[in-house]
Amino acid sequence: MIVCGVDIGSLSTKAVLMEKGRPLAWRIVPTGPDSVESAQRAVAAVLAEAGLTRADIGYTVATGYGRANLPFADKAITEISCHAAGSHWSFPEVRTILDMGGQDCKAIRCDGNGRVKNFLMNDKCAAGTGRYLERVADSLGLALEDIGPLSLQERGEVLTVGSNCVVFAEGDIIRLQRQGKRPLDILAGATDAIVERIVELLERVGVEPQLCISGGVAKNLGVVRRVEHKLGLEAHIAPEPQIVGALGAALLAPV
Amino acid sequence: MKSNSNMEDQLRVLLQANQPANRASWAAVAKEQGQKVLGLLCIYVPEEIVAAAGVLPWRITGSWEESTPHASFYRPEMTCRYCSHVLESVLAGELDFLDGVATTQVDDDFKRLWDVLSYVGKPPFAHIMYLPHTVSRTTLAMWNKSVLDLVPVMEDFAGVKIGEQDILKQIEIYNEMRSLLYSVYQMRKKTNPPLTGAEMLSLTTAARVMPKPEFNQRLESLLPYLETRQPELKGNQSRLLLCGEYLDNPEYVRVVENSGALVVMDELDTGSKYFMGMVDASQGDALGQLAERYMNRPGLSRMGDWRGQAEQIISWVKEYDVQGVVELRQLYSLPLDYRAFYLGNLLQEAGIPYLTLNREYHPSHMGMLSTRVEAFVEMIQ
Repeated sequence: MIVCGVDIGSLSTKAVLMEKGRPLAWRIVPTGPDSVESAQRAVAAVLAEAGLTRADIGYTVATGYGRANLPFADKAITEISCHAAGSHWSFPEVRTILDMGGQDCKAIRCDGNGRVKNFLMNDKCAAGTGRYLERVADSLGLALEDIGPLSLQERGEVLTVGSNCVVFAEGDIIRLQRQGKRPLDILAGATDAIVERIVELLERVGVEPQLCISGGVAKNLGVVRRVEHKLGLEAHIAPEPQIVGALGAALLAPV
Repeated sequence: MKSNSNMEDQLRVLLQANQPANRASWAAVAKEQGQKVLGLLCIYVPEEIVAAAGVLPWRITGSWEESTPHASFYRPEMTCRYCSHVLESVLAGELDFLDGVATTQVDDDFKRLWDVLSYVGKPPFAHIMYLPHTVSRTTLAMWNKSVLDLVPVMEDFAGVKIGEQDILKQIEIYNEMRSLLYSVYQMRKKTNPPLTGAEMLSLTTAARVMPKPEFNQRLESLLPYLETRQPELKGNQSRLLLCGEYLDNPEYVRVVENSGALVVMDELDTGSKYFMGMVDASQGDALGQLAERYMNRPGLSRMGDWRGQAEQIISWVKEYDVQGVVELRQLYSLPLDYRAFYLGNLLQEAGIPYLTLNREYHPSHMGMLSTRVEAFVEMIQ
């Protein structure tokens, strides 16, 4: 049976098709104002990619913040359980998962079977999420995909940017720009700030090797290297870290 | 036995009693009959003494609306939300029928609320009782004095004399309410309990706004029906114990239960902590026994006996076959925040899964709460 996992996130919607535990195709589309329409778009795209039709899908599991309202889903499972399942499938030795999405951040502990043992989640505020990095890149006039490597370049002065609130962080960045500080030093300070928050969340849930990072922010090398450095652990990252939740959703479909 | 639909109608009266549209209706009837109504804020004011003065004790539920524009004038945002929402209701004129208000100094937030109520003179009478933070022979003596002092205060307030017999009569009525609610709680131990957690909270909060004789009579006539009532279970539902304080809105319990769980026991001041613990006045000294009951029953987190409270929760977990403990801590309610660390450790030692979350007083951020509770339920199933 072909199963479909749909992860309706705040910024992007991900769809994965699987058959017999093997991924057939996956697609990522931006989440629009209508989450059901976004999910339909993602599923249509992934079906086109695989050369299949809706009738070929035997079971659909929805996850992400839009999971409850998806009319064509057979089941809704939280993104916490899905990320644990998806990460465990990708890296069976993983016990700690950090998922950094567009507007939330989750620290998850799982057992050897990919079942959740404990979790903490920040979705109350944009600090510590992908949205924060978007604002930082915008404020510095840099492209989002460039800021990871750029934040790892050799630093001049060590600058501190607030980590508690995106709005305050932007204020800090503007202040530092006015003081004539180097943009790359400001970027390094802002990246330190987000990592500080993420590591705090991870330490509260307890870090047990091995570590895996998923979600869109896993594509930011500056964040990943800093988290690894702070924890003294190397992180596993899936080839496409954004689809781990959708992959987990498909894996949790009854076969 | 009457038909089920008739019984459901009768039950609905109780379950809807503390909804905004209905909760003042019994107070209105009391007022029409010349009775005074005293608003209560905590579970420590001995209601038997209030009722013995011929006054209707009526628990104040704060406004369930999001904004508190009137209260914000007197209280910073980052303070007990229950107190702010109560003040909002008072200042917005929703509680103008109250003749007075009485509380203990549960914490500083309650004291400051009492300050403001006294300052604005709404309601026209406000009494605050001293409540110790620990239970011992010494503190019990101090508390005894608070309870004894309440008698002349209520006599002045109502313009009556309270005799020993009046107190004994009320003790009997209140004990009956306690034992009726206890019977319903016993039914929660069943695999398929007659009431959901949201319904149970509606029932225990109904007891706080209705005259006790009427509540008792209504609940007693429903007991045989409740024995047979079986709401439809939605698949494999995890059995949860719900902790929290000042939680009086069943919407919050519904969010927890919509995640595939059933709340079968609670550690709420609006639930079990309100009615558990009987008064034994058979050997005389009614007021002394009354004082002891209010101190010795399962207490609020402000009482500081956190180990005892954790042990109580652990024993309920076994008794009610509970799989996980979910705590909905009201924002800026500090005693519960501090206790959460301690409780978390003790529950972990006992191998009991525990999820503790912040919440507002009014229904808010339900999506965020439900994701966490759902993930917790998926984890323990």
